[in-house]
Amino acid sequence: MEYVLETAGLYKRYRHFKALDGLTMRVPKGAIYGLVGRNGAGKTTLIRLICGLQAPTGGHYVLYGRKHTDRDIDRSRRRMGAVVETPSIYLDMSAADNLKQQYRVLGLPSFEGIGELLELVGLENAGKKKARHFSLGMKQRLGIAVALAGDPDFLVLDEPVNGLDPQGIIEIRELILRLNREKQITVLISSHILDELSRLATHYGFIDAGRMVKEMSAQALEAACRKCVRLTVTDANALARVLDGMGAEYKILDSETADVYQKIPVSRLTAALEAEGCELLDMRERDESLESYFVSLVGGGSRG
Amino acid sequence: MGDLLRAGFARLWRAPVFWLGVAFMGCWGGLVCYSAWEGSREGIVYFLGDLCRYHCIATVFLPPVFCALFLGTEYDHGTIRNKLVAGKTRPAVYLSSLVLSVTACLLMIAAYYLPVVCVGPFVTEGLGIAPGTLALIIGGELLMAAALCGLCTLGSMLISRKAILAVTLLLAVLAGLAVGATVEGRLEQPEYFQGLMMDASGELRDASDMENPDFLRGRERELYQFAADFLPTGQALLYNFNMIVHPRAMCLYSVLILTASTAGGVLAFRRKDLK
Repeated sequence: MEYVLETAGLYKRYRHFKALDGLTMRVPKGAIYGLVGRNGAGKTTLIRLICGLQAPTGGHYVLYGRKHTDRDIDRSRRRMGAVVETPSIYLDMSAADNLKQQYRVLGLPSFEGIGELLELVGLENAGKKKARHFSLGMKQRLGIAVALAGDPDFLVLDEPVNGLDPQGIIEIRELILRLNREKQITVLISSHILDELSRLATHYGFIDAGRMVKEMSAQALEAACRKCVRLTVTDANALARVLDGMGAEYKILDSETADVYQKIPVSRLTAALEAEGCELLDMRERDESLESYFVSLVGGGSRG
Repeated sequence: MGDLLRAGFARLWRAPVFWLGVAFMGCWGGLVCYSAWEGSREGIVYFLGDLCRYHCIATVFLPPVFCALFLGTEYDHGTIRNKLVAGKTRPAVYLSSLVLSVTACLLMIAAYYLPVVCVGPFVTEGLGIAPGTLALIIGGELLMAAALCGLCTLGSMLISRKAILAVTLLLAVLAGLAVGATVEGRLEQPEYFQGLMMDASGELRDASDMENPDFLRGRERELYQFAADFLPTGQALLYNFNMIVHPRAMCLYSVLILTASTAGGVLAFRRKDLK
């Protein structure tokens, strides 16, 4: 698999505070990578590092095949766009003027494509209105448009739906999905709104206290969070035989437990198990949400 | 860096702070010419060379105000991040900001010279100074402004809060002017008292033979003179009140300040953690 971004044992210290503590992660090309973590977990610090706003105090990262210490890392950066925390826009300029300004910074020969970009983010009717008078959602979309100037392959968004109303959240979500599907842009998106992230992400990185707790694909997460019935029996082999006979979808977890991913008639199951000489010890429904999965990964306590 | 300059100048031409500075300095130049005309009607003789110096105290306020409001916006609006994320190097970002601030301030000073050059010859009695010396003084004034721009750009690139930046730069300039005024006040002390003085018995007597204890001598005088020549705010006062002793050294000090502040600023900005 080709990776846009790889970090290896990344450290960032601010005096005595460890913001990143040996973080290792990989963002596959074409993915929407959801960086999940509570406030202060190190999400924004990681984004600041990969955007070149800060330098790591240890470890390294590789962006489009170039290590961050390489002299030509700037060439990799030209392939990315980012919105870090708040949208970076001139408040005393219109949406179009903000984009023109970024086109000049990028050294693009003409302003061709600005109209298309404004249309893409739904700001084609913003006219000469100054960004100062934009709603939060409009500012956020303009920030994304500025990040998209120069057709980047990799878009980094830090908490893009923070503070937005439900309509704004839907608009940003649809925009990100469109960019990923239509323009094949790889997106790294940090958020602590897990429900929102679960509607977008193809890959997840769970981060806590500056460390990567777990990286997984959306499919793997879905499987981990799938609604199921967890059975505890005296003999999991006998249970497997019974479930095979019933045509049920299941997963054996250990010698005594298994998850069954469909409804099963309890009386038939117990009778069949009894015939196999196996006893049903416990049976409970499990419906793990992304939130509870996250809490189970990072622990529910507050950080010290 | 060319792209950054293109973007910076495109923003500069639309920046109200720049045009306000140009208008202010233009009006200041006009006011100076008007004062010269008023003075000439009362028999006071003004020379064009004098008019070329009277902007210096106003000039020291241009870099802090411009840098705080124009360069400070880059941090305030977060747009400095767009430049770095787009792959622009930190030295390029720093140097383009410096070029912008120096150019803007020189253009504002040019706005002062516009009425002085156009109207000044009609309200003054000639240059009043050798053309070469005047050129040296004008060059020194511009270098002094550039040195101040260098220092203010340094502050703008290292202080990320616009309000703190504005207060810091203005206070620094005011403090610099206060130090300059104090130093030059000491340098201006006469060697001997002048006029009459009352002694212990209450008799008045001629004091012109008495030494002034505040008069600076030897190494101490050299040190004070160096401070006045070196500090950009000290230079502004020297130029403005025609107290220039070492014009070439003042030019050299300005170049040194500009070079050192830029070198130090680029190094510090490279290491700065941006948010």
